[in-house]
Amino acid sequence: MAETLLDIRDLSVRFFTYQGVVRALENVDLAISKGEILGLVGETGCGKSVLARSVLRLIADPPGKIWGGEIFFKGEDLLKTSNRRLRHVRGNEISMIFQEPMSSLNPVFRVGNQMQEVVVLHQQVERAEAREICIDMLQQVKMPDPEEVLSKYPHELSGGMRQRVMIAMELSCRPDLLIADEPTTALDVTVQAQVLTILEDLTRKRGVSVLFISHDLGVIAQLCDRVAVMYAGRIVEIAPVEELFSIPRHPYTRGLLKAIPRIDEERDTLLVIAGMVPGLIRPPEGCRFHPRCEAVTNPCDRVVPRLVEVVSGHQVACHLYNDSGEKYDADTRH
Amino acid sequence: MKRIKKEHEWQIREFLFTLKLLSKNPSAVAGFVIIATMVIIALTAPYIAPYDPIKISLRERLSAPSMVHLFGTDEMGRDILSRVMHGARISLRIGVLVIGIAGGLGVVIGAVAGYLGRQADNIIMRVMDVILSFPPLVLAMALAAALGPNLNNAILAVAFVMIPKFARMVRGEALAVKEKQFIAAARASGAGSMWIILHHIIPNCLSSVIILATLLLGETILIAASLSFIGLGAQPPVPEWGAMISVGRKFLMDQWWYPTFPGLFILVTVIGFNILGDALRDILDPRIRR
Amino acid sequence: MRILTYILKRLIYLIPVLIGVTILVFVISHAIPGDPARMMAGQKASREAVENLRRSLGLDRPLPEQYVHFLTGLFRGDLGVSIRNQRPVIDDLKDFFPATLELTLMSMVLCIAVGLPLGIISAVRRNRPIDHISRVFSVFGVSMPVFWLGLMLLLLFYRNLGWLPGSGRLDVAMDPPLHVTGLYLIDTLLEGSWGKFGNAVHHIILPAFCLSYVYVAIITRIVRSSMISVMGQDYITTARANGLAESVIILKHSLKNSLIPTVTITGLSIGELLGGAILTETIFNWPGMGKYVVDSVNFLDFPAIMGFTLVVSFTYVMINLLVDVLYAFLDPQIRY
Repeated sequence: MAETLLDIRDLSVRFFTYQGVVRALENVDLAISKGEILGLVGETGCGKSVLARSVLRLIADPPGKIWGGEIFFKGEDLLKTSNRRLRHVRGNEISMIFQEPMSSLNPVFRVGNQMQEVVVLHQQVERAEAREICIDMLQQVKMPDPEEVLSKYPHELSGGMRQRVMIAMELSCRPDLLIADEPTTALDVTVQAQVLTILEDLTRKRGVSVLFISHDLGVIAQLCDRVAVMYAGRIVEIAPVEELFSIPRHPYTRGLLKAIPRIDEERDTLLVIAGMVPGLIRPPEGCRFHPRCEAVTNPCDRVVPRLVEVVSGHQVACHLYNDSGEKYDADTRH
Repeated sequence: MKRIKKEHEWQIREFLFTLKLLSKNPSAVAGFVIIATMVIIALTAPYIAPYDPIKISLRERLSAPSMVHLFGTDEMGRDILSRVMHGARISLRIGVLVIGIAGGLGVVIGAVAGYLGRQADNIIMRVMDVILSFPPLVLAMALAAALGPNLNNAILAVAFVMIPKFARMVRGEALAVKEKQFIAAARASGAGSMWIILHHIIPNCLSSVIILATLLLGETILIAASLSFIGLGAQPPVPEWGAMISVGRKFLMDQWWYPTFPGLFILVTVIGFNILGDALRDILDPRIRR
Repeated sequence: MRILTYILKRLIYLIPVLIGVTILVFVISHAIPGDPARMMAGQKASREAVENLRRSLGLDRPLPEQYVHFLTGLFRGDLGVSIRNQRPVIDDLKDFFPATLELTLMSMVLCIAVGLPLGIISAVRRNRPIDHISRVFSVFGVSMPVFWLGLMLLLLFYRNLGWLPGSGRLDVAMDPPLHVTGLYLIDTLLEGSWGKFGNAVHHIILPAFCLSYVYVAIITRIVRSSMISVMGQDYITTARANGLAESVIILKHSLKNSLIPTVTITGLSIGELLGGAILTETIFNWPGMGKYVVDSVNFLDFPAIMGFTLVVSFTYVMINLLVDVLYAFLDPQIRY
């Protein structure tokens, strides 16, 4: 079993808005091991980005507040460290890339300036050496003509190129963990494939752990070692990738997978999960998925299910499984 | 017919929602209270002012503020409080006239330019740019001087300066609105340009026009007072605030109250319009409305 | 090279606007009721003298021809002759220009020195006490009648406290420094007259504060709002996620982006300062173009008034061109 790098325990995040308190994350437990690529999948609004940003304490306060829990990284709780330590971690030990390459780079500074700034800050080298490091990183992300790119402004590059620049920039200081928040969602499908390949190669080669966030199950299946499924601010299932896709256990996961059209199946209509994602100001009591669940049963509308281990490495948060991880039969229920 | 009625219903609901948001916003309420007070003073001045604003009483000239004359008296013994109250009538009248004229003309010019586009837009906007190439007070001053130093000419001069501000804003909005579907639909059902401009383009710019009008009302009062101060607008003995300051300036050192109170009223009135306008702008911002 | 094309395009756009400005001034000066020739000749001149004057001024020719005459005169720098003192208006303006320039520059310095930091602090400490104070200050600023503010300042600092002088650029007893730039603050230093320098500073404080007050408020507002908008952008989150210090994020990454709208408004404000100078110079007896034109207004000296209007609007237009060029330097998306 590989060493745990990041250990998120009981994390809760709330947003205080005009309309009320949004319970964006509720008692989230998640751990990432050294060298693994962990996928985090869920629909828009389920809290994936909030979770990602919480790690580096990037939640805007106001209106957001980290309401509880701990995030352990290299033995310390990131939520309680000093600002100085946090700034040392950011971009250096834990890096992050975001969804919108169009707006993630400062439009009034050249690419080289922005990349070198990060390297100089964390590696404590001279600008000249930083420049060399940046050129090397740009080569690693397969940018044609890296020296040219350094002198360009962000708007002169395409979306895919910008995202590759981001990857280069974020990996330049050799972080232990890379958080990628939907890095390819805003890109064309062909460019997407390119960027994903580069991302996978580089991180595997350097032993960088990745928290890969997406709503695209196909990408997750391709890239990740383990997958966590989120719904309405809670983690509902965690499993190694192959097992998740072959034996999904949570009703939500099953619904998601069933909704993907398959070539070897004949259907007239797409299968959907009935109902809509709940608002998080007054989420459903108990299991937040229960209003839409096909297998809904007695305690579901009152008690929040906790993550239990069903099979080694496979955890589910659902009342269909008791505390030891055994599934209830249709007869043993009630 | 029913469709038009539904549209009016929706507009009325939006309007009431805006009023509700306004009532919750402290600046809006403060601004409204200030303006309402000034309007009430302006409307009731002839009835509630303690003295006749033009009645001369040389015995009491240049007396300091007291229980008899709350704001003191001027060099002719006239009660300054009463004059200031009547000044509110004049300033608000100037404001309404100027914004009415400039707004009316400016909105139509801007809407026509924006809707017609291309050549017409080019020419009209160039003309507007020329007018905007002058600092507002300077142009108003030149116009007022040329037309002759009296209040009505000052009103025309300031209105002239304000027209391009409305025109430019409405033109921008018209350019955006004219691309929308319902305009094409109206055109397809045979509506003429003027009708579309009047019934579709302008109503859609209404909220921005109201905000601009509120803010420009403040600026108008300032420019008009400045013109009177220089000697180009209201002429003494008319109790216009700027004119009073112009005369009162001579007496600043020993009779501080003379220019102080009229100026205070200018300040407060313009503050009222500005904070109301700002609050309106924040509220009508579509991102904040839910 | 695209910057040059950009500048050229702006220049070409400018020319019709400048021509329009001359046309407008020409039209206004011909809206003047009354007989300009008679006004120049004076009430007592004979009818014949007035007619001669009218012919020599070309006032009997058709309007378009008069306009051309007017325009060619402009190219020569001929703005007409002042009725008040019979001097060419251009000479008068040249005499009074340095004083106005000095006042405007000082005000600009104040505007930026106070407005920029105040706006930044306001944005960074949004909704905290300092923000509320500066927002109140802003509202007062844009609502303030400049001439009244000047009077109140005189009341406080001149009459009541006696700290600062109430008029002019130097004490009446002092001679002006040797004329190098016309700006007393510089000329006194060049001359080495420390006493005079201090005196000049004393005299410029109140008028500069008064003139700049409105624009400090405007600049503070625009800096605040553009900083707030910039700091909500994704690239700022990226910078923060990379571990950059807050001060770097504010002063390097955010500020440069906020400068774009700020520079635009600041440029426009310079033009308006020229307008506000009219009032401030009058209150403080500052011998600049503003006071000159107000005196001309009282005298109904139309050539002077129109000459001033023309010069000021040309300056305004040129400043806007400069602002546009500066804009191109600040925003690379325009250049490339």
